[in-house]
Amino acid sequence: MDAIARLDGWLPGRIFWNDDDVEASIVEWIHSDETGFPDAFLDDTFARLTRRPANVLFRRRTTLAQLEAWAQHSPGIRPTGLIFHVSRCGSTLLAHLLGRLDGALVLSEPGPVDSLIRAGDRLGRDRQIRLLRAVVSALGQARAPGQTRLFIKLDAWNTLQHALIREAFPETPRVFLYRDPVEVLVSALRQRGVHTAPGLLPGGLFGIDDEPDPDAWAARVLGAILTGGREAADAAPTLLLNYADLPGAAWAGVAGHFGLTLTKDEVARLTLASGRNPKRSDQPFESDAAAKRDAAPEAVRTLAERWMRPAYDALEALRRA
Amino acid sequence: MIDRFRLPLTVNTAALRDDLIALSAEGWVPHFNGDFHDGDWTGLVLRGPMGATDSLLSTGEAFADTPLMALCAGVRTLLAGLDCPLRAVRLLRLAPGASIHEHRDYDLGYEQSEARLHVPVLTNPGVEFHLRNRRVEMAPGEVWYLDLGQPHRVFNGGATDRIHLVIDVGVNNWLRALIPFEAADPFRPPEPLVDADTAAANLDRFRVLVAAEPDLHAALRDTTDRDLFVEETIRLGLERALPFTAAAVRDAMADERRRWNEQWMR
Repeated sequence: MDAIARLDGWLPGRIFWNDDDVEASIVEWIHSDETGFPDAFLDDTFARLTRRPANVLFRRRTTLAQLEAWAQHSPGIRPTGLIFHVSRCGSTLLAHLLGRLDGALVLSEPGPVDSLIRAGDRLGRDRQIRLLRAVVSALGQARAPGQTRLFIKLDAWNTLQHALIREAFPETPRVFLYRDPVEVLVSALRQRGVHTAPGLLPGGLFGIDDEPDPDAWAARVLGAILTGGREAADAAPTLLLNYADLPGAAWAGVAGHFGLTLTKDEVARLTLASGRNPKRSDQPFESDAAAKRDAAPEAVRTLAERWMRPAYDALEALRRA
Repeated sequence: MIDRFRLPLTVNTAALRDDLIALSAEGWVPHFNGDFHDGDWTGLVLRGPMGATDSLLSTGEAFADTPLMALCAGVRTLLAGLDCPLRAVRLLRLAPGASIHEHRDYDLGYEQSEARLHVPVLTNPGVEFHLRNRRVEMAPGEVWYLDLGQPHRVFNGGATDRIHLVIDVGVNNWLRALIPFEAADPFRPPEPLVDADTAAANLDRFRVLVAAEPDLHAALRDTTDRDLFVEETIRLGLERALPFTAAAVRDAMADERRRWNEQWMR
């Protein structure tokens, strides 16, 4: 084994899997001198950083073993809280608000974490868990003095791997954020994400054999994620959070669940910040629930009721219990 | 063509600092290049294009002193020693922590018969002025010619303001006698003549060096200008006796961009 590869200032950006020999897989790292991840999604930060020519030509390359060794050598911030969500449900707002807390670093839908969660049969379970911790450690290095809180908003479909993630981070509190099925589906169909566009993710992930109707695909995927959220809550303590309780729940419920006692300044800062929609910072954040429900054609309602409503109702019953 | 040159002129720094005191009640104007910087970048116009003296714009046909020039005896003395046409004369202030992103001032250049002179009035060791990706260390009392048509970036990493007197002049024989504009720049070597395979192999070896040497990576990581990045990569490769061509660098970058984007969501 070589001496530890020093990776201060470097971020694991992509994992290039080698399916013939998994230990020959390559982690590619990009450099950042920024003190955090200011964009709505980590991938946006990566896209910005890779506009620097040096992050094209002079990326670092390591093995998975070197990634693990780096995590041993330079542990990142211990994760403070995990956010699971159904997507289109205010998760970006929640992550944005948590990012405004003192000493906070937010990983929003980190691609390399998803890549490891979906690495599946390439890795044994123990190794997958060690690497999952290692990649979170590498992404979660303190980037400024006083940075001590690390929040991770996962990709929506990672909810289905809640048990794996629990094994990797058994002590990290987690929330599952969701929203009225019709509102989620209307929003998902208006602007499809990776999981709600058929064919980008394997259907098996969601228990779908075959689904020719793209709208039904989206409803079934979202329904599976809602079910995953309920199963996560059954398996381990999970704060269930309905979109309707945002933004106040960010400081009233989530912070406490994550073991944080907020200062008056922090609450004031979050209250102020919640007046804005982080994806459209020029517009005030407002609940668009009524608009989304009213815009739903009958066919969309039917899909939401069939594939998503039962799981949603079960979540609501559990949340209110 | 050189990109920087310290002129053999002496400056009365104390007199320039007295000018700053005389100007202390004036309102500094935000720089118009809002997208180009983070933090506080402001200035005062002592001489500017006629009819547009309320902004920091430095371009125009005819120039005239503003009322502020009358307050600045030190600046007037310095300007009296310049035997060339004066265009805009401004004081530019970069606050602590502020940075000006890498950019080129396309309207400025020796080819346009214009030159920009920088005279530091207040500065600190934390100020980093990079021109063509190489630092220029300028101290009070000095007068510098800078070719700012070339990519440059500035960061004030210190705790105090950086204030430079920035003098735009027309290039005439007096100035040409002072500044060897057309002298060869040792930091702009001609592109090596090597065949494509050798160039690609040398570039690969150079990339291994960059991965192993943090200082070498640091020397290349902050430039955002693609053309300059290619030139700097070639220059530093030559320093390591690894000649390669611009085409080799551009091809490798195109490959890497493609690899990176294709890997999305795997």
